[in-house]
Amino acid sequence: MLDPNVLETMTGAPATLPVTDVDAGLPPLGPFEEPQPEDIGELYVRHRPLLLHVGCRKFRIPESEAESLIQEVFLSFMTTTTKVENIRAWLVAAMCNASRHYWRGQGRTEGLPDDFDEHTDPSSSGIAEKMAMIITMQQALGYLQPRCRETLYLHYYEGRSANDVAVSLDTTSRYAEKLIHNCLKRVREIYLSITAVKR
Amino acid sequence: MMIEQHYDEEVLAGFLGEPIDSAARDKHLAGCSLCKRTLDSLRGTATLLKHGDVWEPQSFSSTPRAESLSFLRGVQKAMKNEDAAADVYARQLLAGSRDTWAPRLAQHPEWRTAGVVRKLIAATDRAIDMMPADAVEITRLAVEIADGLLIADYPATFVARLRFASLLERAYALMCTGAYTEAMGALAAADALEPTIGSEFDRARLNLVRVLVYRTLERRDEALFIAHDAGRVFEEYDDFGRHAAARSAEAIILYHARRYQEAVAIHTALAEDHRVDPRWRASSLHNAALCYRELGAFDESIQYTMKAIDAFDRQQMVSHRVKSRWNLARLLAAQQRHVEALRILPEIQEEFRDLGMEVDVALVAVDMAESLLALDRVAEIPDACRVAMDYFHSANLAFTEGALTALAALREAASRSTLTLADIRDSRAYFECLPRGPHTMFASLPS
Repeated sequence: MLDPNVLETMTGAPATLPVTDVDAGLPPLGPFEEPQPEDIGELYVRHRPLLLHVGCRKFRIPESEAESLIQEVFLSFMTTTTKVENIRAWLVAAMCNASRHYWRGQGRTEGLPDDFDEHTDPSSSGIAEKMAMIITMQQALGYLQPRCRETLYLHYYEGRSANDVAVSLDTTSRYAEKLIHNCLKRVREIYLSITAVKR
Repeated sequence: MMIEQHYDEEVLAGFLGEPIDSAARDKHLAGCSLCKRTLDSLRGTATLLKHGDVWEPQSFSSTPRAESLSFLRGVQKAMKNEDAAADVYARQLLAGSRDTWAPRLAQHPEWRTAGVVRKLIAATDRAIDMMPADAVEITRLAVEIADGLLIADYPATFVARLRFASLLERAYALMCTGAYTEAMGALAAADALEPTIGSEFDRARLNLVRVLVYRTLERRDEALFIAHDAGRVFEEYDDFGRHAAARSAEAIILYHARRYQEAVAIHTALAEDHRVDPRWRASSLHNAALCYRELGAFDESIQYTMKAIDAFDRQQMVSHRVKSRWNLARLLAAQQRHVEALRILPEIQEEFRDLGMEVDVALVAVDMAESLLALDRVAEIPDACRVAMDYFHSANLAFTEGALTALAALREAASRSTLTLADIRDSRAYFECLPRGPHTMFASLPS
């Protein structure tokens, strides 16, 4: 006997979603619910670098092929008959799907990217956010002075101490410490200025 | 005047080299949300800088491709023009009763466009709520038009996507009208298109419909697997509305399979997930309470029921709120707290009456009879039955006669002091079956 008290909520899928709690740390890139622009071209220009990054970096697809996949993803987006809740996340997930489909079509059985099947890993959710942060940081680093970039590379990426950085840059430890702090501050400012869009 | 002092960024950056608990131990940081946020932001930046990918130069062109831009804008413009014309066509097509739609379409071959298919799909949503049989006919026409579209007239996979979308809507409309065999046919036809379009998102949407069909056909194991997979896909696409729908479906199947422990794990997770719409979360709280009740964990069940009542109240989900209060009354009765249960049951019955939830009015009367019997207050049972009987008299529903017979039997047995728990269970079983068989008559076995 079915319990008449069980709430069958299947068909009443909500039309709108709540705003997510703001995470600590770096800000998300843009509002959670991105308004759909009238012009698909605007959307293409905005999201192309991220989608290209997904195709070329994550799935190692040649750029020309990745561009075709992007077109296919946008075509799919335009013809979807349902409301898309989070456009960027949707496009990134669709690009991952299209990339996997591409490799299946190529009939390749070896040499696939290590994370080819990452989509089955629950930790892969939020991939759009992670990739967008990486691309934005790449962009922010591009605006830095070479010496500042090198300082951050040595300290944060290579994990060298302020003393080691001082030796590499031929300066004092005290100055290297100052440089590390100032460069971190600067790159964060640039990052924040890039992400401070229409929020 | 006190001026609030904050750490400057250099001081905060100093914490980055320290173990994370040194920041937690710092007195100022513990109480200053601004400094804490700035430190978190600096920490986020530093973490990102340790990621190898941020140091790799971009090897691909950052300039948008002119040909892609022009292709996409061209498709969008063509769709817009087609939709504008289709708006008029679809309105003319769907004028009048549904038996006139197909002949009218036959007279207008110019209406057979992708735009009209899109308009018909859009019209299905409204029709499902208002008149499901109309939705079935609308989707039949949509499939017919989509099948006749010339692939060469549109970009690659465009027509296949539209055919898939119309079949998805058709399967859903058929499922809503109980035509499960036909719905399975539409699902199979859509499956055949899936390799061409290769969209896991669309496949997950189709699978959500499949779950509903399989659940009704009691193909529970398959439905569970499919629902779980669909939920994962929707999560990847950040579609938390559908994610919650898939997970809820999974949990409801588990509940009906008496796998309460697994069901409650899903409901509680959904209830706590702030990405999920508050309406879904409120329903999950209620359903978690029901699972706990079945597990015999009455304290947890009451706790979740109270939360659900509060959440339904905030979301103004009136009928759901009454159901939750009803569950509370049943929980109290299950714990032999009949006096407390009887304090709220009359109000619940009144609310069900106001909402026109007829069967529930009768079921609450049965619950009241059970609690009164347990308290040896049998003399009050006829009154409890009379309220429900008065309602059925005035409502004049399809199942009024049967309901009145069942309630009268309950009342008479109470008046004669021969009422037993078994009689009450028979009445409850009868009322629970009524919605599926409104003309079922009540007959009690002689004691």
